[in-house]
Amino acid sequence: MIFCTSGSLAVKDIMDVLPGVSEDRLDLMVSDLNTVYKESGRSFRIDKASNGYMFVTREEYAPYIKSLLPRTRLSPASMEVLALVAYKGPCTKHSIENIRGVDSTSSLKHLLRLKLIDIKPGKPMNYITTKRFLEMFGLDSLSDLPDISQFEEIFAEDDLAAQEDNND
Amino acid sequence: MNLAAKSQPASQQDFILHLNVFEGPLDLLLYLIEKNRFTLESIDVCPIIEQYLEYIENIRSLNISLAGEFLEMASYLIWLKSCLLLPGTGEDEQDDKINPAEELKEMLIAYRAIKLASSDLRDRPILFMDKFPRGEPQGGKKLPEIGIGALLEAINTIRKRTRLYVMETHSTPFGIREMMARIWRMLGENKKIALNDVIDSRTKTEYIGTLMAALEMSKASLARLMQKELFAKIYIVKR
Repeated sequence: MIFCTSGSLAVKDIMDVLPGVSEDRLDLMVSDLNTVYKESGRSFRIDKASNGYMFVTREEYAPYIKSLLPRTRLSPASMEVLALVAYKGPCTKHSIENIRGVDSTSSLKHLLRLKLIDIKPGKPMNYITTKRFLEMFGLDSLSDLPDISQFEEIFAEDDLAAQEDNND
Repeated sequence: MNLAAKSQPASQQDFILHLNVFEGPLDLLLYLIEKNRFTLESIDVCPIIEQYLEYIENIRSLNISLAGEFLEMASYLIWLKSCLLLPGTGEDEQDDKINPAEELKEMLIAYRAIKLASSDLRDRPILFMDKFPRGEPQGGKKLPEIGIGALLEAINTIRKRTRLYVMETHSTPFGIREMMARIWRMLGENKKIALNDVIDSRTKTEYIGTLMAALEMSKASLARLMQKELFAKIYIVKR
């Protein structure tokens, strides 16, 4: 069924066709399939994202495929803005620019075009991530993202390491 | 990277190579902090400010255009440095305890967290970049999901294409000439009439039309307009 679907097949849709199969069982079955694929040297696997399954190629093959398809570019600036919207969303352009310290208009336009973010209805204008974002980054929901305080802590660890170096 | 050796072309080239790496002034500051092997806790702000300003000077001397934010940060840092160098007033001890460098530190921590989060995000295998789904089957075009962003962009495109201003024309039930004729007739019966009396229905258009007609008549010396005071009744008097 996953093979016949373009894009990803939602778990709900599978359950409609196969009632009586729990989500956990589905995960297990997919995991089994993936083991078979890996052991037989297949170039693909089934990934789960945004509560749906889809076939994807393994990362090793990316260089070949990239030349076939139009490139999706995500500059460091766009990634920063995207991370901001994902972790701090819904957020305004103003708050994004406050944290980054630079104008973020072009990154926001780029991300809107890629449909990774959208505008939340209402005033003031807030940006939010989209389902497509979840799909592209292999997340089921935003809560799958690591806790942002972890990134502030990492800094502290780096601090300790640097301090030790300084003390040498 | 030797910022001081401006005359040596090698280090200048090295300098130019590094330029595009910074996403903004905060990025540059983080780089300088790391380069000086400071930690954000024990940062020595003054040398960092010096190096930042020197960096900006170098860029300007090479005639490379800088994003405005770098210069804004430069002036903020100059102010910050002067705050740190000035001794405390002694009166408001509490206020002096709010270290202005704290604000900068917070900005740097917040930005650094996002920078790390974004590179963590980038490290994930990304669809259409690292891994690819099955292609769309031929035939059967799906209607793409439209988000608000796409709608706004479409509106903007249309707006840019059609730079015509659409004028709404209301058909007036009375032309100004007809209104003038009407006023003249009414003046034939009464030498002095109120503007309000001329109007049938109280539409805005009619008010405006009537006033304009009255003004035209005044211009043609056919009538005079009188009003005792501001917002009082306007009278049209036959000459």
